[in-house]
Amino acid sequence: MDNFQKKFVEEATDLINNLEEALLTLEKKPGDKDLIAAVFRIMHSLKGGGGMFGFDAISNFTHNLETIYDEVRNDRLKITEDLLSITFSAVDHLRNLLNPEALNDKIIKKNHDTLLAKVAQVLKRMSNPESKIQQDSSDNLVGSNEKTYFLQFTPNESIMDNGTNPLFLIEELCGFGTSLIFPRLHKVPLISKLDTNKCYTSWEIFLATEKSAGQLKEVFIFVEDDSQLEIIKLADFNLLTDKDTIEEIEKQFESKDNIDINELNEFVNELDIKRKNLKVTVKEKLNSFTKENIISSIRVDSDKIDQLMNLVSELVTTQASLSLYVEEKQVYELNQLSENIENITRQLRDTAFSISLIPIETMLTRFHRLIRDLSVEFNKNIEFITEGAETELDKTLVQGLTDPLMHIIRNSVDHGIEPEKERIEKGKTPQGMIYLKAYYSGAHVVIKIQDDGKGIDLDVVKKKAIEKNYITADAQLTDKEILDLIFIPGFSTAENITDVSGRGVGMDVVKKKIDEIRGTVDLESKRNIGTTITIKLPLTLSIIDGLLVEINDTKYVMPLNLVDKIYAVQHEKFVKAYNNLVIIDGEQIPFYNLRNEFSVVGQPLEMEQLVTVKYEDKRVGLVVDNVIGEYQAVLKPLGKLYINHDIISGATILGDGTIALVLDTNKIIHEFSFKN
Amino acid sequence: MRDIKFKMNQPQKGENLVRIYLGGDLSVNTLSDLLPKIRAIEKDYSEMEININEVNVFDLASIQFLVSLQKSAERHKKKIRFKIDLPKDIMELIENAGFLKVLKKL
Repeated sequence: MDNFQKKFVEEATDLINNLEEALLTLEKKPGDKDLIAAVFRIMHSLKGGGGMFGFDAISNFTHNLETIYDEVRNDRLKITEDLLSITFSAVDHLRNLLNPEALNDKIIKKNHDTLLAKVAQVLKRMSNPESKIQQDSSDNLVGSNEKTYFLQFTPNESIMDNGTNPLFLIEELCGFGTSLIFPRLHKVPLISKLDTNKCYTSWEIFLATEKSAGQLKEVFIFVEDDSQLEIIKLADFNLLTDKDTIEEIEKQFESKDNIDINELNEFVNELDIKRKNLKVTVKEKLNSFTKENIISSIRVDSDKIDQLMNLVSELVTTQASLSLYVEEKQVYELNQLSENIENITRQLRDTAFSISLIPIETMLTRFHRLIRDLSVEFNKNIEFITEGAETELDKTLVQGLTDPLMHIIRNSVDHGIEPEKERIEKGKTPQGMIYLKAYYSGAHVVIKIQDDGKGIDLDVVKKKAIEKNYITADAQLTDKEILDLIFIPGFSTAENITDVSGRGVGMDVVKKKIDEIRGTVDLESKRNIGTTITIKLPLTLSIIDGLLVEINDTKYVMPLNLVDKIYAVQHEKFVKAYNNLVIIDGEQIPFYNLRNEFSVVGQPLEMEQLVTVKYEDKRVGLVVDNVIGEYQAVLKPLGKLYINHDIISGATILGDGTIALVLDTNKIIHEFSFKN
Repeated sequence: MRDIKFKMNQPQKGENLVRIYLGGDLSVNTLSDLLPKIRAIEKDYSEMEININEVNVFDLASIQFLVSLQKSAERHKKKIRFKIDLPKDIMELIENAGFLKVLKKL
C-alpha cells in the first residue's frame, strides 16, 4: 500500500465512523434532512476517494448506496428499519473493504455478494413507483417544508357520551408528523367528585407537519361544534427537529396548566432569531471550513505521539539528574538555569500529555452500535444514555478500556435488562436503560455503567460459588463479598450460554484488564433495580508527580495527588499504639509501618515520618524513615518477575541513576488491611 | 357490572394495605359501576395498591379515573401505588395521545 492509499484508509476510517454515528442518530430522527444529507455526503466522499486511490470495491459498493440515499434526500424514498439495517451492515462491510485483499476471503466475499443483492433489491423496489412516497397531489405539498402548529383542544365535558374516544383523535392528529403533546389533567376532580362519564382533559399540542391547518381541523370535524379548538401556526419550519428545542419547550410549558399564547409567540420568536443566527454561523463555518481545518488540526501518527512521550520521559529523568548535580556541586550560576529547565520540562510534559488525551466519546459510537444490534438480536428495548462523553483519557487507557466496557455492556444487555413484557410485569418502564457516565474525580477518571435491569441474584452467585468450591457452604459473607466472587476467574452464573456472554470468561477478565491499566473496578447490584459498575482509572500512565520517601536507604515514590499531610512522629508512639491507631490532630488515624510491612531489617529511626494518604473517604497513615521531597516520576514497567506485586505500580530512575519503586498506596492499604 | 373485572384483597392482619385488582373493560361504559366501591375503599383504608391486568378496553375515562385516585390519595395523605400492565396496542394509544408520562408518574 503506498502512502496515498494509507492516507485514504485513515480518512476513510474517519468517514465510516462518522457515517455510523450519523446513522445511529438518523435511526432516532428518520426525518432529519441534515442527517440524510450528511449520510449522502459521506457516501459520496467514500465513493470518490475509493475510485481515486484504487479501492474499486469501496467505490462500486458505495455507488449503489449513494443512489439510494440520493432518493431519500430528495423525498422520493423513506428511511425504513430495513434500509437502516442494510446500511449498518454496509458500514461494517466497508471497514472490511479498507483492506484491498479483503474480497479474497471467502466469508467476506459471500457477505459482500449478499449485501450487494440486498442493495440491488432496494434499488429494484425504488424503480417501482408504488413503493415511493405517495404524495396527495391535491395537497400540493410536494417539496414543501414542514410547518409547526400549536393546537389547543378542549373537548366538551360530554364528548364521551356519544362514544367518542378523544384518544383516537389525538392519535390521528399526531400521526401527521412530529408532535409534542401536553395533556392537561388539572381539572380532574377528587374521586369523591368524579363523574366517569365526563371529560375533564384538554390538550396542548406542538405539531410539525406538512399538512395545512385546514387538514388538521378535519380530524375534529365531528366534535368541533361542542369543543374548543384553536390552531395557530407557530413557524414555517419544523421546531421539533433538535433535542435542545424540544427540551426547552418541555421545560417552559410542560408543567403549566395552560400555555399563554403571547408567551409562546415570544418563545418562538426568540427561537427563530437563534435559528437565523445559527444559520449564519453554519454558513460562515462552511465558508472557512477548509481554511480552519488546515490551521486548527493536523493528523499525527499515534506512534509519533508515543515517541514524543518517551522523549519527554527521558527529558524529565535527565532534568532530575541536572537538578541533583546543581544541588550537590553547589554551582549557583547553574541553579537559575536548572530551575528554568525544570519549569519548561513540566510545561512540555503537560502539553505532551494533553496531546495524547482523547475523549471517551471516541468509544461511544461503537457502544451505541453494539447496544442497537444486541437489542435487535435479543428483541429488547434499550436506551443508551451517556454523560460526560467529553471526558478525556490517555489514549493507552482508552485502548485498554474498550474491551472491558464492551463486555460489561454486553452483560447488561444479555443478562441485565429484561424483555419488555417482563419489565412491564415488574412495573418498570417498557424500555430498559443503560447509562454510561464519565467524570473526573481528583487525579482519576471515573466511569460508571449502570443498568435498570434485574440485577444480580446473590443467592445464585453464592450457590454457584459453593458448587465450584470457591467458598464453603457455611461461609458467612456480606453482600459485597458475594458480589466480588464474580471476579473469580471462570465464574459465570449464566443459565444459558450465548454468543454474547456467559462462557465463564467474564468479569475476571474485565478486572484483569482494568488492573493492567492501574484501575479499580467496583460492583453494586440490587435485585430488580439494576447493576452499577464503577471503574476508576488514573488520568495518566507514564509520568506522575510523586513524593519521594526513604526507608533504610531505599527510595520509594508515592503519588502526590493522594498525599494529604506529613507528620514527624516519635517511633515510640507507633510502638505503643493500640490496634495500629495513632491520634493526630485530635483524629484517630490507622497506620501501617512500611518498614515492618516490607520486612526491612535494621534499626528504625527515633523520629519517623507519618505520610497520611487519601484512601476511599478516609485518611490512612504510612510510616517511612524520611521524606525527601516532590519528584516527577517517569514510570517504567517492572517486568515479568514483579507481575504479581500489585502494591508496586512501577519503577522510576532517579537523578543519581538509582531506582525508586513507585508505590500504589491504595493497593498497599487494601492488602495490608486484609493481612492484619 | 358489565365486563369489568374487580377483585379486592382485604388487608392481612396487622396491616392496612388493601389490594385491588382491575381488568377487562375499563372504560367510560363500566367505570361508573365501579366508582361507588372504590370511593368506599378509598375512604376506609390508608394504603391502596391498584393492580391493573388483562385489560381489553381502556380509554380517557380510565386515565382520568386513575389520576383522580392519585389526587385523592395525595389530598388525604394516603399511600397509593399502581401496578399497571396494559397490552401493547393500548400502550401505543396511550403514548400517541401523550399520556405515557402521566402513567409513568402514577
